[in-house]
Amino acid sequence: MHFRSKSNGKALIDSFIGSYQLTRGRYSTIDIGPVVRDAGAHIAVWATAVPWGDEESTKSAVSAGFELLKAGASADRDVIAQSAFAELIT
Amino acid sequence: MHQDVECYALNTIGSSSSLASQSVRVPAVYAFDPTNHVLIMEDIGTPPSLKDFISSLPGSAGSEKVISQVGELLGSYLARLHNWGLDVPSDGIGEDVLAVFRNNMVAKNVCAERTAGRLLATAKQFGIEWNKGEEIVQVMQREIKENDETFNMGDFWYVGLEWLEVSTILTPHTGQGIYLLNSKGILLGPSMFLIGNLRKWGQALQISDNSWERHIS
Repeated sequence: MHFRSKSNGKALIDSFIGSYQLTRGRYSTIDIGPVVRDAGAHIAVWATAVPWGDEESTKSAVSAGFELLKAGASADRDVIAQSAFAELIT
Repeated sequence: MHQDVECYALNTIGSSSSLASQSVRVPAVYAFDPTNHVLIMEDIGTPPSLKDFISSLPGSAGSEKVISQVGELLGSYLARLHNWGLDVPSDGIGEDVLAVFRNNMVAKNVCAERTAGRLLATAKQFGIEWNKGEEIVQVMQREIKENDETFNMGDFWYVGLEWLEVSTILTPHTGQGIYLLNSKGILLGPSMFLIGNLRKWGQALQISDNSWERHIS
């Protein structure tokens, strides 16, 4: 098992977010649109800035990032509901 | 300016009773000479980075438990930092504290550029139709520079807990908890993006497992 394995990464993310949201308490309201928009932007740009993969997988990541970005900017809940951000929809 | 902000952040955070923790903390500042740019801080030795620490754990269910404990500690600490930023005016410290971080325009400009500065060029490069691109980029950059909701640790915020970065800012000190080592990126900004950054990697997993593995290797 390695820190960079997906199971370890998921364990860190899940425990971090669970603890974060629990502690935030009364401040935990999240405006999902900007969150998804900016995360999509980061995926789109980051995929071109790091050795993400071959040309096809980079293009796939960029496209997916822009899809998220557009969905977030327009607060398109149908698209967001199909993404990893679905659980943040309130 | 970076060093000024870092010194101020370390002193302010380090002296807050709301953030006091034996598990997660910042190094103490002993002296600061802004003229000669000398900052003397607590020597925490050469403990392993978080990445190395976790990588050294044996491959077992117990490792995942330790990793989850680390995640819980960091998540709780950052949530308290965010809440503390919202409560600062009533915490006896006042607006002067907020102003230092609100005016950390270097960090804000870096965040704005990292997040939205290359979007239009990327869309063009990959042939992505984006009619509202310019308008959205302007909104994104304005929000980063003008939304002063609460304290955000720059490397926690837009870079988030990405593995390659986490190793440079977080250092578990065996028996003494975890030190947050990069405080110069503290600024005022929206807290919600932290969650977005973390969930982003869940989305990345959905896009391409192979690319994800290559990216983090």
